[in-house]
Amino acid sequence: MTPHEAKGATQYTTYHPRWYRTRVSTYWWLGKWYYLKFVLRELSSIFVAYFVVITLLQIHSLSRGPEAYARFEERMRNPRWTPSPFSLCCSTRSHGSISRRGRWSCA
Amino acid sequence: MAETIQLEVTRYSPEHDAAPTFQRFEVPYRKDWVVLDALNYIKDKLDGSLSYRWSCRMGICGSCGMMVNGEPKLTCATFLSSYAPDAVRVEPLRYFPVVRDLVVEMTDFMVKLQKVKPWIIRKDGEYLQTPQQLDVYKQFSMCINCMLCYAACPVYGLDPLFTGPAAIALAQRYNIDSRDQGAKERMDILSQHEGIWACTFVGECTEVCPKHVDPAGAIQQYKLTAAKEWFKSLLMPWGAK
Repeated sequence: MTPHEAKGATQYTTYHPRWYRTRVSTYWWLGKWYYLKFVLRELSSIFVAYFVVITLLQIHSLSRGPEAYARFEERMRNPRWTPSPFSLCCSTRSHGSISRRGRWSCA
Repeated sequence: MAETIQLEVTRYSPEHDAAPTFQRFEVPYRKDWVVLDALNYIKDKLDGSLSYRWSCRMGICGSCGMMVNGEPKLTCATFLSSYAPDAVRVEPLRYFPVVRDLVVEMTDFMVKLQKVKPWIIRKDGEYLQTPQQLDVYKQFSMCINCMLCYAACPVYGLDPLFTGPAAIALAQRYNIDSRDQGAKERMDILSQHEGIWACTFVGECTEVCPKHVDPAGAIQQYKLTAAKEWFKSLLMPWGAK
């Protein structure tokens, strides 16, 4: 018995043909617009997570008084910290659209 | 319109080939012919060694699923006229091991299907049901096990352990059947990582289904059920079992 057989792996015999397995490409998501849309939707979760963190920081600074909140606002005025509201809006919208993908007919 | 149409068909002979190749055939073009008719023409008139599965020719048996121009399709329901005058490329279902030509190995699907217990589990009693109760699960019962949803699912391609859309949809079909009492038995299989939680909701399974079943919806429904059950077991650990 070969080590391969000992592992129980499928062996080629007349009655058990050798199968051909296709390797899934790393770039499978570029093959079809639908898959690319899915990956873009998943990437939009980064913006959604960022939005959640910013909101939590905002609430935290609000709880620490007017001065802390003013400092938070000052920091947020820097464009480095805040992506444009438009991109945030688009990302959250596209991420939210997942619920419309399935038909949910029995829900 | 041309009177013939080109078919590019995957050929793979395990005895001779290291990898599949394409063979081009010219078949008569008829408006009422489906891809399966063209394959049958090749088999009858041009090359009898071409291997593929088919049975009913009316979208019921689910045997003739193949990739047609890169899309999972039932070849008995895919007309040549949708592609003419361009060539039609016919390949075996994606993500499944190829046995020969267009024939794929489907044991993996059969094993997974059996694991989710797609039958009514009930100890006793009459199996009465109202039309309203039937409507709840009816669309999931339309699944014909053609495996097109597996060929459309990149998750299954990347993680072959994934239970897959059809098996989960069929499990859900029985879970929401008012006559069934086996939801708890299926929960152990379905709520594993390789079960519902592996699904990233690409949604393509629902798009390609020839019987308009919504496997993506079934999986999301079940995710909600599993999360509720988990939460209940957290709140009431003594009552969970």
